[in-house]
Amino acid sequence: MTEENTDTQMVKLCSSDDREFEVEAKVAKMSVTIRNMLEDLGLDNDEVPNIPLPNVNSQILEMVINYCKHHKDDVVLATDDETTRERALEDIDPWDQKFVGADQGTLFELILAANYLDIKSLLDLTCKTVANMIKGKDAEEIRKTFNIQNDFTKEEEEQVRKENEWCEEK
Amino acid sequence: MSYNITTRTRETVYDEKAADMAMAQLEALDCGTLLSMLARMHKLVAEKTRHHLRRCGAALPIYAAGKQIPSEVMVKVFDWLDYDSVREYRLVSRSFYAVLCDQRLWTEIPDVAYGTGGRLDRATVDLSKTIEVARHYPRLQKWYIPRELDFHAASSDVLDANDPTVDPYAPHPVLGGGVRDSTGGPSVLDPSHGR
Repeated sequence: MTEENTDTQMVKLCSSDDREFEVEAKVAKMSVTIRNMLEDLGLDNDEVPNIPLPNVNSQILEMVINYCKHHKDDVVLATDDETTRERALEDIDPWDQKFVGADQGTLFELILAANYLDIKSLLDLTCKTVANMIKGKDAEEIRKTFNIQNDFTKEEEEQVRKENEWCEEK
Repeated sequence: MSYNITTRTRETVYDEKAADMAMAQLEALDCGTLLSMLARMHKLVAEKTRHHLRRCGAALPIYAAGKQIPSEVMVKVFDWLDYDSVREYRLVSRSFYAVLCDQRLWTEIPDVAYGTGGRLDRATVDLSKTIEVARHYPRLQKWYIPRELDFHAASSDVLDANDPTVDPYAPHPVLGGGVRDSTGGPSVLDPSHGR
């Protein structure tokens, strides 16, 4: 079977709460996890393969599918150049910005889903969004943002502080 | 003396008996020996704390917005942050400390070490200088250079200079000059080298 055939074929994705989404294989294959599953199944023209995704609920899966539909024709830039990366932190496409503009809970669920489904561009986007959210905050503000308890002993905190000072700018 | 270190966590339990025994041994020593041990004891405490924090922090889950986030995912978030933020966030909690010490967030410069055990001047941490310093101080300890220093983006000239097959005493392609004088010679830490 040719690559083109497999891309226009439909696949069914089944969320953790048993909702089914029918999408083009090309869209679904943006997830490396799903791509591998489809390869393992061996696609057949006659049947629509059903992929269970027990780690993703329907709300998040719907968002992920929307994201993949929007980006299915993107050219994948294979660049690991650190300098491009540096600039990219500030530079988020307006559609993407709106997409991740939801609440923090959804954002982290998207991160987990992108990680599980192995969609690199979505993982980068969501991780970047969180990084932008916490950038420039101090430790105490981070604890508030993530609702984290400071569990260092006084001595340990002092030690980490010293370690930090040691490599600090004069 | 305050024995109050147990108040914030369960793990750090002050063992009075062990401390008394250690103190009794120390009391047998003279003043000079104790003083010479002091710096090493500080270092030992620092190392043990670091090890302890990394170990117990790694076992703690990280929660964000009510969800447990695997540490490998947090590494991907922190990977976007700059060096100063990464340093600051080690102070958040043990679990953050452990994640932020993750090797994947740091670029190791092979066979090149930095810092002579003294205070590190961050202004001097760049690749070409690191190489120079490593040449002048062969007994340096292992040191990690943060990724934002663009080790990989450094020009090939600079990277060539790090190649052990290249004559280390040839004039430096960037800094110029030679370092042929093994008794001292021009050092990059020498203020006359500018910056």
